[in-house]
Amino acid sequence: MALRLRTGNQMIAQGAIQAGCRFFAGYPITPATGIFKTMIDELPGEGGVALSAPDEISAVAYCIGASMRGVKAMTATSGPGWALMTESVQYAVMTETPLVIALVQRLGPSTGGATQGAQGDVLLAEFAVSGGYTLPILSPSTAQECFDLTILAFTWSELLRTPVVLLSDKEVGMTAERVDDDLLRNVTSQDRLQWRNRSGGLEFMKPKTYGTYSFDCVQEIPAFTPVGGEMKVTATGSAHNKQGKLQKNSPETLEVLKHLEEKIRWRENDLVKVDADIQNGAKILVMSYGITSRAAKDAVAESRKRGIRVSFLGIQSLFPVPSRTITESLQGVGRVVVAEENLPGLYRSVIERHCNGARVLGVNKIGSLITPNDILNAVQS
Amino acid sequence: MDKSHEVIIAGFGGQGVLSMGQIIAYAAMIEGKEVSWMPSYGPEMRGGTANCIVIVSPGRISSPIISRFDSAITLNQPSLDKFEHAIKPGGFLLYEISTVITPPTRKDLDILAINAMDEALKLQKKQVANMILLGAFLERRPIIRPENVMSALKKVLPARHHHTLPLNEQALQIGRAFASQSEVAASFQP
Repeated sequence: MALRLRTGNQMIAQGAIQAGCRFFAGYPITPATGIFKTMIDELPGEGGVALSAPDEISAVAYCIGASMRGVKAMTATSGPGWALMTESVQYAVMTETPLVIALVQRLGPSTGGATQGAQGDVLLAEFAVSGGYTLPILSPSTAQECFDLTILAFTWSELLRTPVVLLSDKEVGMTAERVDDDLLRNVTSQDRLQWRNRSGGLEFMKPKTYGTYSFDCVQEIPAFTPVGGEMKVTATGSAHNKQGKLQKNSPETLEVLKHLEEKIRWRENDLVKVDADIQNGAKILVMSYGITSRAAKDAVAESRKRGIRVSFLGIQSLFPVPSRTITESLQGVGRVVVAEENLPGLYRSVIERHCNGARVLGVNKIGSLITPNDILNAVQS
Repeated sequence: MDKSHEVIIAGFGGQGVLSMGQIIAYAAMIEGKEVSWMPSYGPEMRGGTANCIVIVSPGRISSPIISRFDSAITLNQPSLDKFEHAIKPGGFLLYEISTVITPPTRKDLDILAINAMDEALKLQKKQVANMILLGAFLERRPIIRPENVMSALKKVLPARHHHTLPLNEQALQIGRAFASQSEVAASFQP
């Protein structure tokens, strides 16, 4: 055993390095600074570049530039920084640029409570893209999951050619836990499909067939070629055709816009990551994510001790919504309890429609953590 | 140790509250135990409130979120007022007395007061007050072995401060000696 005491933030940085991330740019912000610091300390030693950017807008823009050049890139921020980044995140969506953004939530609105945890950015993160395009979101609840899900976030972002949000929170990010290095999976992330690998070498390709975003069917992920490489790359945040050329309302442009969503929707059943503990005959299903899912797990264990049959579904892939998994977990369930650290029940509002008429109950709180007891009370009510 | 121990350490920022928790967590990890160290502190300034919850367990820790503690170590009046009532009956409360005007009132706790600031000043290093408290705590609640505390401290303390390790060890011993000489209050009924 090789034991270390590591925070969730440190494990996100370690996961990123393991995934092959070789570019990081960030602007320090509590509670995400641990990722920034670890990357600045450790990435240069791995042959990568870690930059302290003048602000969040530059930070994410630097990352997009690095990724367009073919380097796996990540930035890390919290709610206020995310607010600044959204314009460029949309640009990454539009230009199909792989990118991982670790968003470590704190209490909002605005600068809110820098040192207070919250799970209030769930929908702010997901619906940051004009037009309602799916941003895949992964949400870890332990230091170990921070590592695993960061690698997965890179795989998704590379394979889908889209930004992926790693939605952590202050407690997950700053709580230090025992991590056994021997148990960390020795995997790296998968890489984006390169144009030159598609048919065995660039020299055999006919340049005319290449477009920056060429696809035959709308769900297909275009093969990548780096800016500054052998092929001409045209990237724009404006509506464009498959060549990347600005165009207004042409059928091809509309097809590209449809493609941006379809490439993710079509694969949504492969983009499912949950921590399911389903009990036969359970009438109640407890759902949660992030730090609160740990309290929920405790509450489920305690409920079972008291003879209540209850299932647990911790959701790590918040978006695309794992609707099929949720529906499957609902067999015989009459009541669903959704626990999250925000007042309106943000994620509850999204999954309610998948709950097949079961009564959906929220456990919500801000300012302090939701305890196992809070959830237990809702289970027993 | 066959069951988990949950302790909250609370005071002002700068008193070494978070470090104390880190030392316990590191030492427990050296012993192969599961640990969780969860910090919480006030707005972005020195002198704000700070606390950390440390869980040391022989088995897996499912949730670091708890509302009742086995022990509390408090380093100022607000923390004492807040966390005295969050300790489980029969638990242990250790508090730094020089900052306290209103003492704790519960009768169902093992309560130990120590003037760690005065003792630290006698060593001409007020920064080691937290180590005196840690020594006293571990004497009463030996959740980790004392020899692992110093190995943990080497991890927590930046290398440029390693010349203070002997002084820290001395502070730890002062705390332990104080606690071993203090009786458990006669009124205490676990």
